[in-house]
Amino acid sequence: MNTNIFLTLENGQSADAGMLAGVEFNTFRSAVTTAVKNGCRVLDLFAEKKDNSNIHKLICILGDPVRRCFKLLSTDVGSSYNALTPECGAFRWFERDIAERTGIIPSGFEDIKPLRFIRNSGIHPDAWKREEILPGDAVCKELGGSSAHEVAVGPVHAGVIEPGHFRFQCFGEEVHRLEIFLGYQHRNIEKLILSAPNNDFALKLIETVSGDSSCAYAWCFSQLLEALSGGVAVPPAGSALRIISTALERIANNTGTLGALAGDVAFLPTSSFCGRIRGEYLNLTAELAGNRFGRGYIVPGGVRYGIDREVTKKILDKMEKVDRELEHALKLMFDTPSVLDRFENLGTVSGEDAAFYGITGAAGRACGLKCDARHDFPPASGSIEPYITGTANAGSVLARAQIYQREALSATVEIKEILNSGIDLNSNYQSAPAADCQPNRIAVSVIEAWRGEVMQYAVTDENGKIKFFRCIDPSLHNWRALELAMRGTQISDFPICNKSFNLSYCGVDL
Amino acid sequence: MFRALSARLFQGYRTNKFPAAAPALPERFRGRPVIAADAKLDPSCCPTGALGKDCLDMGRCIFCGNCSKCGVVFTKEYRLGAFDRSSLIVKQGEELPEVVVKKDTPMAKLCSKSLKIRQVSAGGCSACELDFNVLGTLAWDMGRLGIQVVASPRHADCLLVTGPVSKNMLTALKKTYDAMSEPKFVIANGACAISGGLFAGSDEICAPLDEIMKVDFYVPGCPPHPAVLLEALVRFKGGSAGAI
Repeated sequence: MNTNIFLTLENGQSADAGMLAGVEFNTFRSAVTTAVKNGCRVLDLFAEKKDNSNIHKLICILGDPVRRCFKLLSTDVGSSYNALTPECGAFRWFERDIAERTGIIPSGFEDIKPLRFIRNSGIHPDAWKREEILPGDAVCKELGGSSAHEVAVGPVHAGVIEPGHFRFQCFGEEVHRLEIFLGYQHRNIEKLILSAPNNDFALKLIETVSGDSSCAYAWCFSQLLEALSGGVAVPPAGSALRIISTALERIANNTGTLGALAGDVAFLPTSSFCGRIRGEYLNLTAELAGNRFGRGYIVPGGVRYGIDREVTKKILDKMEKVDRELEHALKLMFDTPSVLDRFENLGTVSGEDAAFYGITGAAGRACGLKCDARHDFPPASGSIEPYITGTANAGSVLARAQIYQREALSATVEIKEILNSGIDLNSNYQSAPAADCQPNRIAVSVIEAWRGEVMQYAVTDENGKIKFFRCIDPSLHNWRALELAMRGTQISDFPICNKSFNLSYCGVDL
Repeated sequence: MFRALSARLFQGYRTNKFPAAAPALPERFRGRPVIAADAKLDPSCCPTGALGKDCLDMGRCIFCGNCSKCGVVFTKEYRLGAFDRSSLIVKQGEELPEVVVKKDTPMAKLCSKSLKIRQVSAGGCSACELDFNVLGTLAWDMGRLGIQVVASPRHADCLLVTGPVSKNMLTALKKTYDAMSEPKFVIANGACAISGGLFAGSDEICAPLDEIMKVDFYVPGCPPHPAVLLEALVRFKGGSAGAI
């Protein structure tokens, strides 16, 4: 197989938009599926309508972790094509998206459902020939027999949490199958980004795709703009502060996740400690950015504010104390047999399934997959070596919890190393404001957020304005893992399983 | 059990002193804006259209600080919650106003000792939910002030809505509201619920919330800092909390 048909791009690098090759569909299908079977990650698959025709351009973006680059390929499709999902499960949610937004039917994808229940997609009739579009209204595979029953939960849940709808097909107490219905938070964010009058406003929107990953999203978009404007060099202090703010985001979220897991198995000490400790890290982010989620901090060319020696010392002193409290709170939980008993062998996803469905980030690593964008696709501005924290092999709730623990603690080390390195963080943290994007360029940007990789892709028009934009949250890859993890468990296990993935309901506008 | 007890000793008592004392806010915190009388405002620098020629609408503001360049000064005043929408408009030349405490509202009469909140996440990015959840942690512990989150709308005095009310959440939001018994109150939390915030231009959302149901209290921010929200909740039920 000739692999040179792909357009190859490095992270944060742009190319002439005309270089993206279009090939005949069968060549596309076999090139893409072969590459995935040989270890490439599926980053995106989407359809773009060609002007004034019924033909769509299907574009696939893969990540090659061995060559540390992205591979892009496109083809033309009409009203239907031979689905990729049966061969590569990682395309599953992307083909649902394509069917919903374009009306194209990927044939051979049997139980295809809408993804977001978009009401005004403008497609008539749509892929399911729906008269009326209501959220959560789709055919669910039902169990037969007198002991079978269905439990439906959501979209409004008992706690303070985002909306989603879950349907469990149960056989007695046992969950046979879970189907997840989202789309309750659909805001059409891609369209808003395209219509934003300038890239600064677009950046503000990007930070709200998934509110708990604002720093990673802003970094990813800044890197994308830097690539599209012809390669802006981010100064070392800017790179270091990007790493610090994203690492703080990772610690805060992992701490919150572990605390919530403790709460879900009624281990209150760690639940209480972690709730408070998470806030301490958010407060440190606020010391950098003025906002606890780091909103507005990472900008094209670097970051918005530097930190002087006094603030550096303040952060180091605070971390000296809080890091120990975090380590202690987590050790207490992982040393408690009753907690381990609940976490062990629960919600297990096999390594084979994880690879087939393209599970990513911390959840993927917990299944033994070697996937970490910090290692596989280092950021263009990464003047400091990325950190990789290894993988566990069980694929269970416990494995995921251990990954969160290790990554949170190693992120604390990473931050302190940078702060203690003596690098001046109070000057030259942003290069000159980025120039406008160049016309007719194409670029891919990937940043490892705390959940997994965030991918953004953009094409500029002849005036250098972004005319096409895609953004993928790691949750989109991982919801399938939650569906699989629930099989054979009980509904009472759902909170722990769900929390062990802690996916974003709103990530990519679901 | 001994390990749990010794852990408790190690971690210590960590609930902060707010609302008896002022909250610890970060150095770069952006609170209530003031606009100097001679500032030349440039509405085009505002991503949400909050900035006008001579005023700033905190209900649309995401407190990004872009307009610092054209003369808006973000103070440390964190007491941003308001009983009516018009109070969220900051006029040019106006000084920091007195914080309004009302002891005679229906909410104050009914909920001053106990406020049960049902939260509904109606779209948005989840940051508002996360920072509301923070009030339940032991750092803020809103339970000590008689404020509690309840699972059932039947048990709730108050509906706290976050997000720009996506079309796909409109029915669920209305059903939750309808399931609450009278008297019932509504708080719009965050720029999205108040005005649509960053998503105001989207054809997939229904905000502002006060065009869908009667809103009794507004808490601006993107998201509101936990201190902003907790102070607002205290004032909502007739109390007053931590001056600067």
